[in-house]
Amino acid sequence: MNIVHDNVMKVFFQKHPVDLDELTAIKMIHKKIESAEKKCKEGDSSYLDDLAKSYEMTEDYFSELDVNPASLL
Amino acid sequence: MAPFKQSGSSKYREYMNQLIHKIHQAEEMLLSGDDRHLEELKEIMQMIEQYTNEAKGHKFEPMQYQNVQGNPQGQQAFFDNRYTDYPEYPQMPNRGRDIRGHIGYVPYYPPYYPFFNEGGSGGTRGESRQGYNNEYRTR
Repeated sequence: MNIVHDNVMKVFFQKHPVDLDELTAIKMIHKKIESAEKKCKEGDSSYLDDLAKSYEMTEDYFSELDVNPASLL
Repeated sequence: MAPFKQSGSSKYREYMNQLIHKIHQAEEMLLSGDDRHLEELKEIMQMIEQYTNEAKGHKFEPMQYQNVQGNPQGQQAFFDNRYTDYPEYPQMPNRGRDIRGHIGYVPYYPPYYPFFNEGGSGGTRGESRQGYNNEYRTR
């Protein structure tokens, strides 16, 4: 069953906020981690930059939901 | 020296696989309406911190705190607003060029110059500079 997620969030993926639904936001984080994985396999040390970016994207995601990740079990 | 070129390279690839697996799980949980996807995301953040610490051999810091104009102390330490009133552009690309590469912009023009907006002085001061300043202030 497909659940429609219409919860639009503003996420800072570049310098400017973008309106995204939750699933798209997570997919973009996924894409960034995949890019890091690819670079890691190729021996490109900038994979760490991609990881840092995905970390920031996840932080944005949490702040948009107004959830403190430290409060989660 | 990149850490993956050392003997433990397969370890980092394994880490990346774990991350991919984790984010995939988070996606599936969100799709099935399970709120625990947030916990997965939290774990992803922790894993990224841990892996980066290991790979770099020092404490993880997100990109926004790194390498601003080559300053390891980060943006706040680099940016000194005593000499400019353009706080939205703390990283000036090149002296003499504005953020879009236009030549002639003087990043550190002193805002306390007493006849700054008076005009009439010609040259690079007075009204001829005003367009630049207005442009940046209204952003």
